[in-house]
Amino acid sequence: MSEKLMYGSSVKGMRAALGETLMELGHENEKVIVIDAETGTATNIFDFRDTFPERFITVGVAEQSAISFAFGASRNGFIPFVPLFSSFLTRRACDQIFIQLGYGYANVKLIGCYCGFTSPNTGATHQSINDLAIIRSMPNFTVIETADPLELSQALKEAAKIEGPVYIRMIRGDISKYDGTFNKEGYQFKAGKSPVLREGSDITLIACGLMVPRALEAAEELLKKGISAEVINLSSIKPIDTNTIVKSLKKTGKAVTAENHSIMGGMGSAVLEAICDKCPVPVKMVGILDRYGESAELDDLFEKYNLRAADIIKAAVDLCK
Amino acid sequence: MEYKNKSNIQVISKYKKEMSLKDLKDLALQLRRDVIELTYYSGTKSSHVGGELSAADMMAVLYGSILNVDPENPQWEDRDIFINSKGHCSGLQYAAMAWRGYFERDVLFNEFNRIDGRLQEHANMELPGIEAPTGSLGMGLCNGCGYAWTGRLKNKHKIPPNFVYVMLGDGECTEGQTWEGVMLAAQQKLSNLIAIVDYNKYIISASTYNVMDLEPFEQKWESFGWHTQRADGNDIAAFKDALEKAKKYKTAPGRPRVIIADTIKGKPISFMMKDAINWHAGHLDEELYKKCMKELGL
Repeated sequence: MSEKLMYGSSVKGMRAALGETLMELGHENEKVIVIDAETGTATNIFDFRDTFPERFITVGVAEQSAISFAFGASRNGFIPFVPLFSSFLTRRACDQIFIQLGYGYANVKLIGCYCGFTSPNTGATHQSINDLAIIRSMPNFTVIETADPLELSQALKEAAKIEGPVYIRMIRGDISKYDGTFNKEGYQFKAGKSPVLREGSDITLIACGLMVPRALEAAEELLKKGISAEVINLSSIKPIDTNTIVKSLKKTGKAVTAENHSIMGGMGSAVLEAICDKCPVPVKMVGILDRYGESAELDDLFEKYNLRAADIIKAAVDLCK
Repeated sequence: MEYKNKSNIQVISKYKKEMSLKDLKDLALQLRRDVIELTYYSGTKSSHVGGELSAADMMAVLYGSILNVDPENPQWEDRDIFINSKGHCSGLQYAAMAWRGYFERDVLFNEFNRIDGRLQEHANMELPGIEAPTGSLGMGLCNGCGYAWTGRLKNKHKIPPNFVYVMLGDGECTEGQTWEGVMLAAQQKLSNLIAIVDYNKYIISASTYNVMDLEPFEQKWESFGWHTQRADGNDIAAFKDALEKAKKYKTAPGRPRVIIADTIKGKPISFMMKDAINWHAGHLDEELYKKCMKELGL
């Protein structure tokens, strides 16, 4: 991944993957266009703008306009990618997304950037803690949160092939330790399929996004306590891979879900909905409780709001007592 | 398909390539009768009848002689795009679409506001010929911008062969998103975009003047960079002239066009025009239905 700076921070990891994959898609398919609403500097999409100026538009700070514009563009045979901050994308333009993209079955790809707490220095206004709850509840949408930049790149390419609306949420990219890859060698993202990253027999840890490496770290620590944990990367949140989850739960009998999102309506809720009548087992949810965030240093936020590997370990140990 | 409801209204207008003003007037009358009939036979016995009647003459001009579309091939690449942004007036659009041949006429009186019916109170993309799901107000103009901008892109920045028409309600001009679209269209120089505002002077609860005054309306659009015309939207000849002028590139190179069309809500039904606030939407029982049809010459 290339090294560059944005507002004094390095552009790597997820953010680099977004910029570079959009470039690849732009070269491969002249129907790919990118619609911005003045967050392009932060989301790293200006290489696309500079290379394909005719296929790039910024609509000003106007998320609603961006979505309705994208609908019209998609109906003319184009594949609009709309990378905006997940908070304003899903909250400000909720009605447009629901009616025009979901109900309208539009071939539009939404990228929710800086999801969860990964807009740390901006506080509760910018932190996107309920975007999964919002978009997941909309029929017709495919909903994805990938664990690493490589998987993000694969998911973006897959999204371009899916006929219909797709929402991909992604963390800010320059978070240390999270620019590697966590999936197995040869892995290929597929909507509706969730990879088991580590096999275990006592408990299942189901995670998405930046909680995937934390779940892997927790599994390692749990082993030292004599607990064998299976880890599933639930990057495809909708459609959800019920078979993989139920198969694992039949083996382990209990689970911890972990997400960088409110525990209300997010990935953990999706898991509970999927298993409640097929394989009801005790589950603990690690995620943001029913409260707003604040502007602070990222690691301090993770600590205060219980999003560390230690929080997954504690939940797992409690369940295994 | 065998339908329960059979309309007894005589069809007085048929599509032909060259529609005279007299033909368009007949079509407008046909559409008004069909709207009343559709409302009466609606599964909910209702529609947004007031705004449908105000826009009937404009819909007749659009579907009768302006829109270059092919009902046999609704996705035809070079078709004109028509977005009914004031989406609650779908009944009127459905009547025009049936007349133009998108679906059978009987569908109007049997599938509106009914379970599994194709004609939803607010149109959806399941119905070929509908270009945007509208109804939540304020979205249509930005949809039009998306169509117009990519239309130009598709044609390698030559003047596209088609136009994008968006009909807005005056009430939805109080939506912030409408003005996002107004700015966007001017910034992008979308001369292939033509907006029409059905200015019947009533929002839902009262007059626009009392609720949220739109005036000076022309100056607002003009100052945002649009070529602006004001026309009588219930005068078929005047409205058609305004559209023909808007379609000429030379009229205003590089600028989007708007026609602010003065209309009367409920026209020509006397009890609706007198009490427009109560006829934004409405139920028609048998007595009211007969009253309406009498005023429409039946």
